[in-house]
Amino acid sequence: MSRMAGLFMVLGLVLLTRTLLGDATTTAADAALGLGFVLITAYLAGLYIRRFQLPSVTGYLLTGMLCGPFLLSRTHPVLAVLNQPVVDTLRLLDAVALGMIALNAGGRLRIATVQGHLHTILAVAVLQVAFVSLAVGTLVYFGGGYLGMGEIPPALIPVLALLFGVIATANSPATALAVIQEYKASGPVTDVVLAVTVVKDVVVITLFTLTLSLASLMLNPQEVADAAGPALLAWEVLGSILAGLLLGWLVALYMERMGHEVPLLVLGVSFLSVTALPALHLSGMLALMIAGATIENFSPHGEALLRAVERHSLPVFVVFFTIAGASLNLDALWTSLPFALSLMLTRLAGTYLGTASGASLSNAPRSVRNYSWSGFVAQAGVSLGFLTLVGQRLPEVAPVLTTGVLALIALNQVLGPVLFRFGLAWSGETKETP
Amino acid sequence: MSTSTLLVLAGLSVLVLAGARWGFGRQQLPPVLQPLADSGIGFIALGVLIGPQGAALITGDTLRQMAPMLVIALGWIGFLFGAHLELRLLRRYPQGLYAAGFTAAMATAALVALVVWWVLETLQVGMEVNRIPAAVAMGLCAAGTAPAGVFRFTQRTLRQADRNAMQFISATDDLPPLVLLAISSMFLPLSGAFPSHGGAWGWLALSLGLGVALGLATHWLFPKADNIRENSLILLGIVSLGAGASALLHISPIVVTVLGGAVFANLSPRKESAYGLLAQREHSLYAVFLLVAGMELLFDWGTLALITPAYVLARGLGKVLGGWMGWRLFLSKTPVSPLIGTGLLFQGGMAVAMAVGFQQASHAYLADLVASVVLASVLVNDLLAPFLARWFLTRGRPS
Repeated sequence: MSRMAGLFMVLGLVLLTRTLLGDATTTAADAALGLGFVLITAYLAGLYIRRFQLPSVTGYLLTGMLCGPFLLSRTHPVLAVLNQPVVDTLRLLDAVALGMIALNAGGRLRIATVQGHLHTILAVAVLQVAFVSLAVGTLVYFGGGYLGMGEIPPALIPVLALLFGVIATANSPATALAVIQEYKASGPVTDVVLAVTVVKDVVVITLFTLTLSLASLMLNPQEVADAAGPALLAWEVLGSILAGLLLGWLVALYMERMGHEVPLLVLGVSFLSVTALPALHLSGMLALMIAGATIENFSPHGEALLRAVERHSLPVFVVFFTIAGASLNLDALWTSLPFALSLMLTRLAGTYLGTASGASLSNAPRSVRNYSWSGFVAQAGVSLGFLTLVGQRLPEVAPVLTTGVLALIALNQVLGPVLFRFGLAWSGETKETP
Repeated sequence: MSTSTLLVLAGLSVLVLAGARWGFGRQQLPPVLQPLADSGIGFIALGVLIGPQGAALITGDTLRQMAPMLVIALGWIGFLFGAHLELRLLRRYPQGLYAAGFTAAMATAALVALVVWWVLETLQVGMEVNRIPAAVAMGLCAAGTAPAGVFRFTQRTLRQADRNAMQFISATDDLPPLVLLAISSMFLPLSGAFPSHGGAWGWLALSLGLGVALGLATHWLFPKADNIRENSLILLGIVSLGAGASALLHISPIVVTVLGGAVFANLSPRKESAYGLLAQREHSLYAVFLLVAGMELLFDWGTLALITPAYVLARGLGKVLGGWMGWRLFLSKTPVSPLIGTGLLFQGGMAVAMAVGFQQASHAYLADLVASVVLASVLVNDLLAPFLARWFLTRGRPS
């Protein structure tokens, strides 16, 4: 009851401020107000939505969607708390959030656990990527025209099928980790989902880079294949792994020798890795996952690191997912709803079949066969990164691809955490049952 | 984000990390420099060095991206200060200590304001219409005492009466100048200051309303259970909200959050938990705040070199004379030293926050000068205050 009173007080404060404000704003103050609003309202939404057996992440996402630039912010200037400039400013926190998530995910990978599920992890990762990319690619190639993808020149259809297929294989480690952390899940499904997420990161980056080169050749046959392409890909994957090992060693050394201000260290390292490493053509996320795993497995500081990350992760998660919700392109979703729904269902089927068959082939426990697919439905950041790269290299296919993928992400990001929450509960890896 | 911004942030993170370890840790430094490291004030110098006025590693764009941090840090400092204003506890102390502390603070403010105004007039610095508001602001920023410096100093050998008086006065003497600075900024604004809603009275009503609402919201939202993650989130949310709303409406974020903190402290049974968290997180935030504040400085080195010595001397004199007046009027029958003012020279966090808050409310040249002079004075006082206090307080005992 007192929380409700507090929420109304906060809403009243925000509305009063924006009413008195009129059109005059300053970005710094607007961002601070937006941050306060997001932290409190989304956090409370996350708490209330748990009463309906849904994960808090869904509450954060829905708050972002409701208050973001595509819904409430459009209706009246007073309600534009999460307007586009505020969302853009707060998105600077994405780098911190993604970095912390990657470090956390890597820190949970224990060599002994991974070794126990190694066959399952590899089989699930490979078959899932194969099934999803084939299923989605086939749908786009044969059915895209009928499902509202738009008037597409025939030459572009195979390229779009390839790209849609590969981008659909990416999933959201952040969402999986947030749900695992919220429900304190542990067990084979949790282990497999986390490990496959890391392995898939490597597989998907590799596959996407190769596909982009192939698509480029298909659209411009006179263009000689870029000789630097494979070398660059090898650098991206191997370099990221090396950077992660080095980063992990350095962080462990700092914790060993100094040990103070670890939260500040985590924030700094996360932010810098996610923002600075891409400038060297390295994946910050992959490097941080490896760094987390290095600290966990080769130093005595794994627990301390996880504690430091988790202690500060709540505000970061809340802002990250609320801004992710605010950034979900609802316009794209409305304009291509039938196509997006078809893509989502096909991807869901591919994910289920790939995961279940991989788990069966490797004789994984029944719970892994039946429920681990639910951890791979959510989709966000990596796919958006791929879209940016396609826009730079193949501008002719970018508009259609962007609309379809944004709509697909909007659906998956809402559905993903809910499915995973139930998947974990049904597998018996959470403390409660739905 | 540009590569230069990234490089700057990379360097900044390393500096903050190393500096936080250095400043808040137990590394041994030369005794002359140790106070700078102990208080964290060295971050201001670091900010000046790497900011646009120093090596220019930080560009204007990068500073603009960091601006929300400054707003939130101002709110955090204000809320922390307000959270220790619990009437039930404050009533336990003798009224004479309040009166003596406030006398010292107000005498210092008056003397510094007069001297600074005279210097500004003599040197014809800034717009004529802005000289009195700037002098008043500098005077009020000089009035308070940094509790952190006093507490560190009084851990050394010192008579108990002096120690208790210094600790109490330093914990409370920021309040009157803080309120007066906020009021004077409204009734005596700089010509370049942003207009507030409904004029000075509207400002007063808004500040009060926002502060009380913030305190109530914190009281209602602060979780009943001890959960550090949730508690931190709610406090960060409240502080950001309060500071952001105040800054948007051009009212003082510090005043609003001090009020919010005070209302919360007097309502909530869980204030200790909140206070502990606020203080615990303050170190990192304070380091970043001082660093950014140092970078934001726009120095006119010539003017600064002329005004800062006058400001520091006037403040020192004001503290000594004001302390003596306070002792003569209210504490003469106690064993407290008549030179208690020499123990109140420490200047720190709240003075910086007040000056930066004043600077943020205006684009006027003199607003930048106020912040620069106060920051320079804080650096000087951090170095000198321990030596002066030790010298006088071990010799100035009443017979």
